[in-house]
Amino acid sequence: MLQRTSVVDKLSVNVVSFSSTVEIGDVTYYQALSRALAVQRQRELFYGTEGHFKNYSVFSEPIVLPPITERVESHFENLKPIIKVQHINITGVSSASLLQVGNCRHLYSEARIKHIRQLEQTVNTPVGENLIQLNAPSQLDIVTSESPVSVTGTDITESEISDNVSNNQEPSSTQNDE
Amino acid sequence: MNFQVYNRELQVGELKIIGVASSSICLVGDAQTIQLAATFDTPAESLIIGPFVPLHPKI
Repeated sequence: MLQRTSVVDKLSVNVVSFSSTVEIGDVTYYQALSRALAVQRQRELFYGTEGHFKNYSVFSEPIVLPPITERVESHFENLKPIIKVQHINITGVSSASLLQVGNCRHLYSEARIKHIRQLEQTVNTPVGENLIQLNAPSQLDIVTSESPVSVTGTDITESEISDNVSNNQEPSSTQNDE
Repeated sequence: MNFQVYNRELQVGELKIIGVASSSICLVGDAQTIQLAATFDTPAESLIIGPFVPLHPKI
């Protein structure tokens, strides 16, 4: 087992990113981990120091692998000692992935992604059951002055929404305490 | 269980792949064990409509 030789004449890859590997040759152990907080905002806005993996369970919950209960007697006969590929063309290898030409004995790879979308609230948008009404940044105990990007983008104190927000201040702050 | 494998000739002309992503593998060769795990969480609470507030930073 693992005695065959891999031959690739031409290999073209455009992007290898986020804990990914291009391996040419044999490997005994390979392990990779990638964690991502994917935030999509309707407006171009990034506060700089925000986000922490510990606040989201998806980054800490155990991934249970199904147990192997059956005993398997394996026997391999390599009648041709070569695996041949003329041309490999890959656009991207990303997020704890592996592109290998060669043999790999044990491989473990893990990717965890939390995807969050933030949309701007229009004046008369009702807040549905699934949607969380949030406080203005000034009402949160986060130091925003150190952020490289100013938070004036969320200046709602002088807009029409401000009445809306201050009316909902009581219930929304209790929601946030949860 | 008995698992008998005969590896005869294996020859491929061209592989065209757009993406290998989120804990995936493209392997030209043999392997003994492969364990790939990926989680993707986007629940209803992930859609936030309101003023843009930063995510809670590292405290």
